[in-house]
Amino acid sequence: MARTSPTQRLDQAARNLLPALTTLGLGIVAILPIGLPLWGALAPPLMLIAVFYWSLARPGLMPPTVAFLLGLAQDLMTGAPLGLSALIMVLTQWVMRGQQRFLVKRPFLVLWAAFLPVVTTAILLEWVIYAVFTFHAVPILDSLVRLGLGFALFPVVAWLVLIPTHRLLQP
Amino acid sequence: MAQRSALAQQKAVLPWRTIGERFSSVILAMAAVALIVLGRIDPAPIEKTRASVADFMAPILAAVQRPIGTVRDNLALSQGLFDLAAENARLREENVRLQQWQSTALALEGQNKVLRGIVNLDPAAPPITRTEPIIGEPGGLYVRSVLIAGGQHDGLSKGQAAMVGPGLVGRITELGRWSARVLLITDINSRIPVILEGTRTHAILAGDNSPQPYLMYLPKAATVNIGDRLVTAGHDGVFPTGLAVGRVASIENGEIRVQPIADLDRLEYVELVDSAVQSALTPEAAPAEERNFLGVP
Repeated sequence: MARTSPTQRLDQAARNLLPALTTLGLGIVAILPIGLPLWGALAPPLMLIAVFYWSLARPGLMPPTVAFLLGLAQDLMTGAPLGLSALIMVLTQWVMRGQQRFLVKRPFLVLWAAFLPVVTTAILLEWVIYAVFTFHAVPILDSLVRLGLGFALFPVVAWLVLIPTHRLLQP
Repeated sequence: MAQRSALAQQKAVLPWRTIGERFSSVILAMAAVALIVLGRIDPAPIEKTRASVADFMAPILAAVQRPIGTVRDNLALSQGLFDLAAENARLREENVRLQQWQSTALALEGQNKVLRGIVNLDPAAPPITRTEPIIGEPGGLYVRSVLIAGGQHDGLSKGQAAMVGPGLVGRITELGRWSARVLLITDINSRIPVILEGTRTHAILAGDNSPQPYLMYLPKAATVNIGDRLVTAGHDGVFPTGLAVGRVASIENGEIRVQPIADLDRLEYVELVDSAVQSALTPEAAPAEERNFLGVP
């Protein structure tokens, strides 16, 4: 094989940015007013799905720093307390990296099942941290709806966005 | 050779990896917690950052939204074609009703002007409004807010009231150059001085992120009935007086919940009301604006 040309390297670098970019893109989708009632209020955790997926599929392209920055971006976009999603994303990446050996290259259903405890913990943790720092308990029911929505949307997001992008990463 | 290409591939990954390895997850998690605490102590710099991020995002959001808007409009149009006749009948009826209201309102406005003259009150400045489309519905469970495609550049200012149709939506809390964030009246941080229209009782309308905000600091002796209308009191110096806010929806164990008049779940645009407005009624205003400020449901 010949030396990689600058264009090839540029191409590879661009591909390597894809996990971060898809995650950011999903964050934007979550705040778009798409005309569904309560879409904005429930804000399905689309970015969490992406961070979960990439931490397993391409951990090298979703290091803690990137997870942190993506979390910050989500906080800045949504107006949530700055640092809240950053914390959740860093923890998710951390935990998933530890589980990567067990979960990588498993059937899709296993991945989906593994997402349930992750999204549950993430959303409950978010609720608790928010309550502790702001002395306000927001209705837990909303959190549960959001949790269910995140779990239900996992295959949609994975099949429409993440898996095709993942294929693009491995030419 | 194979080794070489692997090396090249690693090199391409390297930027992320080196940064990634320098900071461990623990330090980043601590940094995140520190940020949350700092944000509680002094939210001003974070608000500023947020406004600039919103400015940066505004064109992206507006561009992405265009096709969505088209699809949504077409869906609404095709849906509308089906019940055109019924809709037409309803609108005719509503128009008659609104015309009656208009004449009532104009009569009252005239009477009001005379009374203002008698008590020597300052004449009302005409309300100035701008309509801005909503480009983002950020929030999630912790914040109830919308991003709009107008900012300082468009003459908006912090604290301005935002309405949609006949009802109050919220106020501008973060102002960028090209975009602004409107905090909805249902947000946990929203506190709005209101008056119960029938009894002129003052209270504060407080949000708690649920769809129905509640009334605070209502005098114990006050009588409140389900269906009572609330309007802005305006004595916070931020809002004009008399903007329709909501109706009392439920009274349970002393907790009074208010149903906002504006449909906050389906916002597409907001109208920004100039803060200097004293009266919400203008006989000269365009019909669309009149409907909004009469507060007729």
